Amino acid sequence: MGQIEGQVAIVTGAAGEIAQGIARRFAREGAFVVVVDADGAAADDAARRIVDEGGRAEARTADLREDGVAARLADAVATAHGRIDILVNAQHAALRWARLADKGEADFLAAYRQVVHTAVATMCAVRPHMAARGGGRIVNVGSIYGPTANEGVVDAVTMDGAMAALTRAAGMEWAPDLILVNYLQPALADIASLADYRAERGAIVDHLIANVPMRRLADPVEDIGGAAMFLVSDEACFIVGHKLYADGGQHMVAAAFEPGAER
Amino acid sequence: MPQDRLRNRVAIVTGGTKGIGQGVVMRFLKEGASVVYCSRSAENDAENAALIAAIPGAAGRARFVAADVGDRDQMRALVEDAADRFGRLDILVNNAQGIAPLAPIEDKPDADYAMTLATGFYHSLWTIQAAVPHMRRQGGGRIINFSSHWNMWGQPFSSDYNIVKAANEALTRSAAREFGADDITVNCIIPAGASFAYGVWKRMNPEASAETERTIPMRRMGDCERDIAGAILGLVSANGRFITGQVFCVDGGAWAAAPVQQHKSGTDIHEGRHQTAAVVA
Repeated sequence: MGQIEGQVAIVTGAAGEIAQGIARRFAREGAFVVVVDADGAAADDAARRIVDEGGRAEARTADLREDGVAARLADAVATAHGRIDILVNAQHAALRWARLADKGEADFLAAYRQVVHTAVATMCAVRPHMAARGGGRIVNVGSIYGPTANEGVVDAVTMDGAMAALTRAAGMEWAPDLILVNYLQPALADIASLADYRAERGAIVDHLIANVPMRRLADPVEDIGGAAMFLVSDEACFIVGHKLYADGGQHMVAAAFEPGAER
Repeated sequence: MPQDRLRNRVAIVTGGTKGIGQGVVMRFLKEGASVVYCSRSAENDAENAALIAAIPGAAGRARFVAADVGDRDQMRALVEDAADRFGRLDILVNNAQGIAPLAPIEDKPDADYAMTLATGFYHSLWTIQAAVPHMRRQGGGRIINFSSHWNMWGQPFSSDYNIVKAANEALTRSAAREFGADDITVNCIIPAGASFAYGVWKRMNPEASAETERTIPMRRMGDCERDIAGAILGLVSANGRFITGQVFCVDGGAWAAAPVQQHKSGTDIHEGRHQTAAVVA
């Protein structure tokens, strides 16, 4: 019997490997997982992988930046599956590496629309469905760039701060309805997209790993997915608006991973 | 619902006979762990004996040790006792804390600071020093220390307690970095639990406590076993394997709402259960 047996979870930004790690972990613990991305092929792949692993999942293509899309998504999921217990917001800004002086309003507005706007829209869309069933769990997933002062990604860092504040404020407002909103801050994970960077600048990654207290990068399923499971399980039934680092202690050490500085 | 999340695990809980510590002991036993817990005298264990008898299969996995957390030798002996008795040690929960009377900084005796440090900070340090070799040999472990909102908020008249909790947070971060390579995670909890002391204060201040609970986003204090021990269970079981070095509020959102539990100097919310002896070697 899994920890979230029979529950229905929506995971957005499902093209991302960290989002997929969380989705796979939820499926392993008995949830039906709706993986959502604007890239329909990526969402299909994510769902297929879960099903191949013996889990239950479906893909939905949705660009949550567009008006009304989040509400239609939530209503469709609730209609099809009868409930929504869990929402994971894992949308991330598409990064254009540039220093602050070289970024413009368009960068910030695009990042806001991609990260904060989609999170607010999706949270508000699932809220009535969760409230109707006596509560739910929402996990907003932070950017790996958020906790550090990485150069060249100031818009992503800013959205990370905004998401932490959104999580805190929404957590306070919705806790009386037992909709618990928390923030999961992942660290650099051992994922395919790191491989290119690692091939190019292996020494920097090795230096970072040597400084991470647990001496390794995050596994998306076991480490980050585990921390997400903690936040949506009965274990975290009294935790509200909080930030949780799923990073082996990486947040305590200075960032050596500064891709923006090199490009 | 118990899911055997701690099957074959061995845990130590300091101060396990009332409040949050008691909740942790019971939750761990229900999840299949063997638990060694302590209190200053065997009399304190009467209530636990009855609770443990009601948990199927727990009697052989629970062990009470009478020990003073302000005494280094007794804390080392507690750790060795657990490792000897059950053959390993996976989890250490440093919950205990000796309490001195509330008093203003200019009146608080040095002896009170020494006692609070010994029973809060040093006890955590001593058990960690003794436990880590066992955890390292086994290839990993989990350590939980305790802090308090009172440290975050500078609670008046409990400066000794607040300082000790700050020390526990610093110890948590240092230990997380020193032991991370050994797969030992170290985290620190800030609970808002319906503890023994909170219950006393609530009876003394029904209106203020109602206001306090109203300002907590979840509108209540935490249940020691379900809410507070639940989070500790998550951190010490598989889900928490990559979480380390953090100070974590398990408080229904109180950390952001900052409700007021105000005490007058001299208020006794521990009903005389103060400790006076300082035993820092």
